[in-house]
Amino acid sequence: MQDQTGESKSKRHYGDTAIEAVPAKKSKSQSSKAKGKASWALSPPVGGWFLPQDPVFSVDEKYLFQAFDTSVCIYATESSLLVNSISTGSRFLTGIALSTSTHDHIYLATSDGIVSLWNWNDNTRIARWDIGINIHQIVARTQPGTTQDFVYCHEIGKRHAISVHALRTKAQASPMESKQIFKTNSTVIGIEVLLHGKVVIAACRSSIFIGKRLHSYKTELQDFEYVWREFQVSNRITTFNAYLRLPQSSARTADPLLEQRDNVDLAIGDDQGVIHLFEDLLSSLVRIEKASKSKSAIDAASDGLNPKRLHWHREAVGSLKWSKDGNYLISGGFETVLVIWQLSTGTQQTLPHLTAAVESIVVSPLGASYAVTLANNSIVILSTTELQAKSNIVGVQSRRVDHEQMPRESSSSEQSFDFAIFAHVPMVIDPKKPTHMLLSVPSSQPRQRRYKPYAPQSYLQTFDIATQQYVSRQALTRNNATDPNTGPERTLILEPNTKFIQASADGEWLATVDEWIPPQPDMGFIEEGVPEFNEEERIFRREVYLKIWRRDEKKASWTLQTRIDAPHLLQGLGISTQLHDLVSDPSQSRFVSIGEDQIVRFWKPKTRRKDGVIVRGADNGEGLVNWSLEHAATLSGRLDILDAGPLPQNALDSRKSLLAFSSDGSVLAVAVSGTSESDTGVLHILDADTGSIRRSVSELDLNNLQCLAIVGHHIVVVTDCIVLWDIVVDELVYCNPLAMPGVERRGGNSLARLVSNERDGTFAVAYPQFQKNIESKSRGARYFKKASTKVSVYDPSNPKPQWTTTIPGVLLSLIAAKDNTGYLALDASASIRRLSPKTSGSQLITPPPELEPPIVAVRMSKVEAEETRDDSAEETALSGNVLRAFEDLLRNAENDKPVVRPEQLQQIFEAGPSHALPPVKELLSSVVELYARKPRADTAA
Amino acid sequence: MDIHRSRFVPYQPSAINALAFSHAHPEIEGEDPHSLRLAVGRANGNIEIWNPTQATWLLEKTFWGGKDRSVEGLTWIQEPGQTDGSGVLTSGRLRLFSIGYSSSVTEWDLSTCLPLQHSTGNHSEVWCFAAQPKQKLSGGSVVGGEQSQQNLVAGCADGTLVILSTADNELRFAKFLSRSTAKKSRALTVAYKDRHVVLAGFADSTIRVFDTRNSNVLRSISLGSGPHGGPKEILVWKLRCLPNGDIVSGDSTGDIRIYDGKTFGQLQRISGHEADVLDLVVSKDGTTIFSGGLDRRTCIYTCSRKSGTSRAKRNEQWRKVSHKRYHEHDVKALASYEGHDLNIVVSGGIDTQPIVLPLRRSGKELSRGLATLPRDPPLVSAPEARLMVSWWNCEVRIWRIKGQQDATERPRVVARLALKGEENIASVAISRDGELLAIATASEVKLFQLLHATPGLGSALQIRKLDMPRTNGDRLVRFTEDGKWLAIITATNNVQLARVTRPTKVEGRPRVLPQLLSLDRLRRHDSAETSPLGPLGSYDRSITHAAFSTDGCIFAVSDLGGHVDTWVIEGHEDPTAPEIDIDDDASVSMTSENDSDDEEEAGAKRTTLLGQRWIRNPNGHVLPRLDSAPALLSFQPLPKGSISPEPNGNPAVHPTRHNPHPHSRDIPDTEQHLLVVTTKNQIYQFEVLAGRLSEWSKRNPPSTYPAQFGKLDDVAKGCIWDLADQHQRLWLYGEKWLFMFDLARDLPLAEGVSAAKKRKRGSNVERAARGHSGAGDAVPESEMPVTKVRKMLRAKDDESSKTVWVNVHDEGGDVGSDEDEQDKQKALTKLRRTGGVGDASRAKVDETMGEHADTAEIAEQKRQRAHDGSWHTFKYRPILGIVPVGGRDDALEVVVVERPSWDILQDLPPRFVGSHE
Repeated sequence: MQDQTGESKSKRHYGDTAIEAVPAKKSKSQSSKAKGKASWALSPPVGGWFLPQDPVFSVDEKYLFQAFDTSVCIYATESSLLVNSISTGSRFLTGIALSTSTHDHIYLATSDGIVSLWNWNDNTRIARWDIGINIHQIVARTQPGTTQDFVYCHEIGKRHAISVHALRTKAQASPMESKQIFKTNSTVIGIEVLLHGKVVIAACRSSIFIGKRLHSYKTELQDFEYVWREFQVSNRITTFNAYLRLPQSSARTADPLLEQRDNVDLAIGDDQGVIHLFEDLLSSLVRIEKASKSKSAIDAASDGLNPKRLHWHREAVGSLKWSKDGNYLISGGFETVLVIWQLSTGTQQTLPHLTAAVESIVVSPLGASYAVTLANNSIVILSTTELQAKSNIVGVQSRRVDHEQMPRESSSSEQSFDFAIFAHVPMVIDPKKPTHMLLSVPSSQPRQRRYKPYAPQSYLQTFDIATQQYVSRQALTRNNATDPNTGPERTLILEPNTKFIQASADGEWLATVDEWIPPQPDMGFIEEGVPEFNEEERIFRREVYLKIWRRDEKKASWTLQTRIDAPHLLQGLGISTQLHDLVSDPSQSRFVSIGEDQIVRFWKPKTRRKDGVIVRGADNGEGLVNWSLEHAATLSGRLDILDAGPLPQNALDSRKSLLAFSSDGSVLAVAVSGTSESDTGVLHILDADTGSIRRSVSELDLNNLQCLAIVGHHIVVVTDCIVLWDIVVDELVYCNPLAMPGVERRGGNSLARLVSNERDGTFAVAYPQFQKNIESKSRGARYFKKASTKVSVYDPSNPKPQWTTTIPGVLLSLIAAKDNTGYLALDASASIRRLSPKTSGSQLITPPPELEPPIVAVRMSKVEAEETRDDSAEETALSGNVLRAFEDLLRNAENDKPVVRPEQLQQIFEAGPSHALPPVKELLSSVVELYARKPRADTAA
Repeated sequence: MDIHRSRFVPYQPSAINALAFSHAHPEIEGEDPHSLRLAVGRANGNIEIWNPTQATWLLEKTFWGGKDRSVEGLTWIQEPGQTDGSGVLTSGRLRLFSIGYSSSVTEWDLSTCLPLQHSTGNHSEVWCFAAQPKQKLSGGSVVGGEQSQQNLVAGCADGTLVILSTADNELRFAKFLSRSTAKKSRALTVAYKDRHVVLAGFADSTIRVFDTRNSNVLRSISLGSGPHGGPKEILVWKLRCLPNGDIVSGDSTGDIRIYDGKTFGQLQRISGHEADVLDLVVSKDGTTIFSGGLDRRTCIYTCSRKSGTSRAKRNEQWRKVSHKRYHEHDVKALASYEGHDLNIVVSGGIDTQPIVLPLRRSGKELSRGLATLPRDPPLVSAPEARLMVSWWNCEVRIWRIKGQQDATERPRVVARLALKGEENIASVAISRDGELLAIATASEVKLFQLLHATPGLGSALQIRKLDMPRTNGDRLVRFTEDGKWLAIITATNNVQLARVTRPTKVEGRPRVLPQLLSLDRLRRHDSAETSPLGPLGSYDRSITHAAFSTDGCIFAVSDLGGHVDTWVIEGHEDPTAPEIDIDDDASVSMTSENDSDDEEEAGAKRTTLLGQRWIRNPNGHVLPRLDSAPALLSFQPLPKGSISPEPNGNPAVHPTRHNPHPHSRDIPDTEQHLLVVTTKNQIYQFEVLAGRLSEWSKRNPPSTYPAQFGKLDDVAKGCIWDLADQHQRLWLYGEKWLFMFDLARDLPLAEGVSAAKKRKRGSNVERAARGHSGAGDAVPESEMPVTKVRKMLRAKDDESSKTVWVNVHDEGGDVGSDEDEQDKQKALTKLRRTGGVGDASRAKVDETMGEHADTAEIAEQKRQRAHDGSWHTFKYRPILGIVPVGGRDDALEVVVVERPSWDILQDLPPRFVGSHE
């Protein structure tokens, strides 16, 4: 433990909030151990959306730091692999800044006002200070004349302010100081600090503040005095970036800090898509002041404030940066195009088809690459010369629900809140690779522009939760990746939305269901003034496809095998009805669907034959397979559509139906919700082979049907309560009420999640809770309700849950882990957590332990690494001596561990069956070779 | 009043090809030259002279072109000024040159509007030309002769460059600067770098630099090959020189390039346009460039160099500031003037509308579009015959307008005339009964008889040409209402009257008496200083308007200088008198009472036609000179029944032995009111015979005009009189407005007083909002990129307590914004009350015939009109003209002809489509 936590108190600013040197790791590991009594455990989140902050390059450009909700991930820019991550525990991260004095130190600021300093190389915390105020953005700059940092914080208390802190550790043996340099009533959207704090720029929605330090020769913090100049602009500012143009003559060793004239060029992007470029801004402001003082014409002096106007973007500018030499501007926005403006020639170069809106752009410290954060939770690192992608860092791209989209506190708007935003995200685990999750993701989720109710999910992402890396991404529906994404009326062109994904039991097949309905504005041309008619016409044009995909090992993707148009077509009306549920038969390659027409359809593959001879494909010798309808079961309770009157969809919509297979695939449960007090719905139990109804249970109140599952011989139904029905004895076991505060009881909101795991015979229920936000400090947050999800794991034999926990945020998906007991939960910030019984370890799935336990290829935070080592120590066949030698070796190479991929180890250990393995000595030497190879040259540098 | 709102007249304005200011900047600091003019060259060969001063943008003169003629380039030179004995420098005479699709350069006579001379020379078509810069006056010593002369250089289609000398008021071929190149690539642009270095841009992507003294090629700059996929050669469309000697070029790739003036190396290349840059303008201090191009854009570039600092080349960077599409079609020409009050760039192109942009205050002021339609409406009507005549280029069309009761029938073209000559039509007049049509071109006046349809022959008119005595270059023609007198204003500003005899029988032909009466104007001496022709020019005496009184007894003309001359008829019509009676010795028989008036006529022959002759109005000389040029002359029609009866018995006087050429000395005694609207939109009503302002005009000075009338920025085009129901309604219209004044009642005084007060104080407001450069209004604050600025020294805790916002664009004078708001509110409520503007958007007009304003609206209007003495609407725009139709005894019925810009654009060739559209 090399923590050197500054314990000295600040002279006056910090008052009583003492700075504690808390050995964070120990307490954390203790606290996690303390929970050991519980039979189940919750893992820390994996994945998640990037914080809306620019990623940070390390000084040598080898690493990229990206902040998440509660952690900072460090990626290697060469390989785009996750190298390290620093976790803040449960505190929410608000800002990160790389120290400019010591390049391997990084400052993290969290929402509760704590700034901590970490060494990101060895993942140790150096110090921790309690500033006591909500910090929104943090910038570190070297104190002039010293080798220590000043930290500039954008703080939000009652007002927005910028303070400079001299945060000192014990070792530095100098007092801590802080000074507020700026305060305003308007909302600051970003700050920028130029040249060791000589110029500080703060941008608000409609004005820019430029602070210039007085007495630039004085370098003590208390001498930091700024002259602020503000100017107001007429459009809303969305992004800005400043460039300090050093005079050409500064080559002759003149200190730029002492230069009298600061040539600051400022570029502002506004919500109209215009970039305003102010050249030499400070001196024009000074000229105006002089003119106004002398009462002469401001007019002539204000020429400098007549900005250059660069207008290419049609929508608000997303991000904007100067190139290192100041000759180019790089901008991006909703158009999914990176625009590079060459200022001297006025030409612009574009890099189109970036697949998603550009959220932020960062120019690397040496100017060799751009890191472009896209709105699909990925970062592309482009070389500046060829604009070629060097690496691609992708997080979990599933649907995000922002804080502002949560239900509001005020009662009036609550009624209109659409809970559809929390709709289920289709997600399955690849049966062949239990660490791969397949989930449907939207193409882009820009923060500036929101879809209603949410962005259509048109892509399939495969994400490996063990390595925390994305594996692949492919389109499931038609999409606008290379097409314009807006129509002629500037309305968005919407893609179809994938509603269900199911994998067959053998992992060979994947079934997806997507649905598209023309948006309301596009139907204007047939508008006849009757809204009902228009809506009917819209539904008439709904497109629903059931697509069956086959695994393609070579391309590591899924290829479309069969597309079934309108799988549940209402024959009489020609309306393609929505699918209510799709399940996969656990015993064979078969999918079962149910739609609004209340017909259960069984879909099965069939090898294509021609005159009795199997038709074989051209590429492989296998027979061509078609999927087709095996049989359909019409439920007795369904309405007679043809007699239902002119508007059948009203009757259709009100019913909801769900499917569930028993684990052996013999029983299919179908729940159909009721429409009224008198008609409370039916639970059918079908013979899965024939599709015939064996039993119809109508005793249950299924009016607010939410989920259905089968555990062993029990059917679990979640309505307003958890209902357990025993198939064998044919009776109700129990009925536990479910409380969902903040959700009004209305049909159609399936906010609860239910999943069963046959391996341990449990089922888990998750349901959200919306509560008043009490503790939030930031001003805007308190109008929104705070959401959390209660997850309970039940044993069918016991009406009391085995274990209950609360997860912040809303769970959008809950599935059973395939390899092991336990569950995986995906929340609205796209982070994945694992719930698992204590016995199997609380960590997320790690690479199989037999591979190489002591050195985790992907460096987890140390806590996890330690535990992994404990677990697997016995299993290792290597002797203690070897291990020690190994660790020595490692210690030497502490700072630049070579990255060893699991596959490489696999090559050594799984070269053949165990009896055919080479002797242990040889094994060892090859492993050592892997780990002891010369650190790559770049790491040494 | 019945209104036919119509859009059927296919009047097509002509594209602007060339623009040139007579001065680039003032000769004397702080004062704009009086003789500043803008010449606009159009594709139909017309050249227009605009006067930009006083912010009225008055179209003063039009030099009529002709068929297959086009103006492709214009340039002005100024003769060296002269210092008179007292040391006062008078500026020299301005000369205007133009080029078309021919091998000659034409000089124009500014006073007669006719070509003065053509250059000679054996070279091919001239594509471009430029004037040598003026010799810098050094210490007052005037360098005479060759040194001070401004030569012209012309670039030709085969690549030759020709120097033309303008010495001695001539235009002569001087020498070849360069012979045609082997490739014969066109010279597209020439410019003088200084007095002896000429730059020329060619179509083979080169710029060549010549020394005019020895015709050497100093340097040849290549622009390289064109962009990939396009044509290989780059066309250098325009070259201009910056004050520091650097060169700017605009080319067919859409780039502007800046070259070092000494080494001729390229310094920078900026792409601002998506298509060819066609014209460039640089500011006087060399920190701003404007460019216009094929993609409709007008781009602005600035230089980071501060004016005044020494030329530190390395830090100098040009940047494009912005671009904007002011035009609907290609921008073909730009011209700039940087002066004291005016500080503007004018751009023009195929969409025919000149746009005025602020130069120094670009970004702070809006643009201003000048009138597209001619200021004098090309529309006349014969109300009795319900005919309407319109004309453009060499063509005349006549429509018959059906009355409202049979409005189902569309107005029909009943005659179409295409003149045989090449000259464009300058003016057309038709008699009230529609029988006589006079057409004036720059060469002659043609008179036609329109024979109305005989039953069974359809509605088409038969046209018969009548003989006319030859005149020389004509500008205006006017008929008296009875068609007996035709007034012709010639190019040389002579006023001539022709007598037309009109037999009453149907088959009888009208005949023009071969003798024309010449009327002399009073000689005035006070107009020299504003003339672009220098001290001796007679530019200001150019007659722009003429009008007969309704009974045909009084004739009035006005000129650019603001003078009004009037004549009255003497004697009574006597069919028995000799047709032409020339009294050779009238000076002898001169009577004493009017000898002073007739002094100038002395020696001239006195001609009497059918017992009538015209004499100068005895009180004409007391009519004051107006402070600005009249925009409109019109006699108020006499009320019914007030026309003086013929004298009893035989009015004729008969020759006796002592008096072989007798004539009656009777002059009309009915007082007539002449209405004059000046270009400053001030309304004067004169009692002509008495030579004084009328009572109404005295009671209603300009300060009493409605507030909206004072805010109008375009000039009155015409007027309509409505004298029914004891009203004396004057309907006055401009391109975008229609105002009614009831001259029988006074304008409301209370409001007038407040309006006057408001104007006095509000003139500040107006100035602040109006902008200063001569272009449009100031940009509203909500659209400015930067609005205000302040500085804060961070005081310990109280923020912004001492800081003061500095409004970046404020002039300093505090503007009572709330009163201004009130003012607007008032105007708004008023507008709402009258239902004027609001209807404009709703009003649907079918293309042919107008609608009746719905009865409620009419009732509202009536009520409103009864309320105060004025009413207005902005509903009709842009108005080509308004003419009355229908008989004198019917209720007033008018045709409002609109010519919307989208209609004009429909007939244009397809325009460049950029990648964003």
